[in-house]
Amino acid sequence: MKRRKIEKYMKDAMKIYAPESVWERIKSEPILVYMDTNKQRRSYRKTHRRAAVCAVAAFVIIAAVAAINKGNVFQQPPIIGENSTDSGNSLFITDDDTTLSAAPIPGETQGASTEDATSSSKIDSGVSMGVCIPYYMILNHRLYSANCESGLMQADLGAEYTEMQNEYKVTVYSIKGVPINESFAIKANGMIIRYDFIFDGEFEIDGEKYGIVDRQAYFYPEPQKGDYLGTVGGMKVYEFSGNDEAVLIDLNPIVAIDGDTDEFLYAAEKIS
Amino acid sequence: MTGRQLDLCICEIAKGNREALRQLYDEMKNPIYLFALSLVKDYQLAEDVQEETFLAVMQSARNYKGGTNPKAWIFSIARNCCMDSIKANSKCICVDDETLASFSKKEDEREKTENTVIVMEALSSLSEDERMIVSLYMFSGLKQTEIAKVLGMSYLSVRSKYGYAIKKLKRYFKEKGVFADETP
Repeated sequence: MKRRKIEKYMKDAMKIYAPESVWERIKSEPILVYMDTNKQRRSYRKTHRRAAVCAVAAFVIIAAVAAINKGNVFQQPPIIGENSTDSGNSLFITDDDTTLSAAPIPGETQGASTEDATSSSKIDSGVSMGVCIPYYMILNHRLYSANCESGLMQADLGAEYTEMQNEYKVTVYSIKGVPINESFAIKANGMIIRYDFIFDGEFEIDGEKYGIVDRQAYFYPEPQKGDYLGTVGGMKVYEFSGNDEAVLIDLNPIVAIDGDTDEFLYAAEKIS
Repeated sequence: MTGRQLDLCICEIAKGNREALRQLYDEMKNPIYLFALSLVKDYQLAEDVQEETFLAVMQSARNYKGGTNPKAWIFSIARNCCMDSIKANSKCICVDDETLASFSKKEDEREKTENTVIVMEALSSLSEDERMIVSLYMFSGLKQTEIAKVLGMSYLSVRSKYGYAIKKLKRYFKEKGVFADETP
């Protein structure tokens, strides 16, 4: 009796399928969400390191300005709470602040619905929903970076502007007196973050015109790069495996920090 | 789903992405269920372990260290859930005729079901470590190096225990007359 025969016999005998009822029981259970931690950050590109620091600084400044303007610094519940149960370097935004509408927030990475967010915040008293603010955003194939010191208020915002990138919806607000191709703002749990234009992501390769889209638009399955196609403005362009309508471009020269040599692959869709 | 995709999936779950949770569930439900079944030897308990494992993943995804071995991490959770379940149900639970009947009432599936019972009984003849190694290797598709991570053993230890387990299983099947109709 060969080992492989035993293995085959046992595998065949144990071809049992898990009951689907388990999904019904877990699908509505809350997930403990968490803003980037040091541990999680290792799994992402180093871009996020700068984003997290910048976002934290922005929250502190804007929260302070907002509270001072309201004149009730000591009466309002704190809108930023440090997670005392963990390493202390993660910040959470509570969902207590209801002064702004709950419009979809680009780049927000907690549960998709308000209901989810509410249920998450009730898991235990110490943890509320996390909101991750991206350092870079892409709108109309143009790359913008977060501006930490804008101090924008609700009154500074103009019209809402939405854009679909693959199946990812980007919602931003124009800033009064500033063209949207220069700057825009997003709302995240009562905070307003400004983004300024840094790079035009439209380029041409092999006779086709492409424009970059947000990484959220193609986050899963993770884009796999194919053959090297060439270089545009010092940035390497690769085939997007399994997608003939897009390519991958390495934005390392634009977004890398301190000589970081990692690839920062962004999908770029064909522009008709 | 590759290890990298599982890795990303867990990171997305940590951010509250339920679509990622569904993808992870579809990918891992059967391996976890079979692993649990081979350890707790009861369909209902295995289902409970499966549920507890996914709930634990939902609660702990934020602590997952990205870039490590996601399968090893998930099966470590599953193993702990199994151990808790075994402790909580310390009485001996065996697959009896009633369970057998509830599992499959179709005549044409009876033989397969009987084989399942034989395999589960054969697994019972192994030590706990051997049972986990065999289950993770055969039913959950983990490599022996990954199993070593899950169980906190050296690769060589896993390999030799697996060899012993196969010898024991061979002896058990011989006694039970499995493959008896085949020439040696």
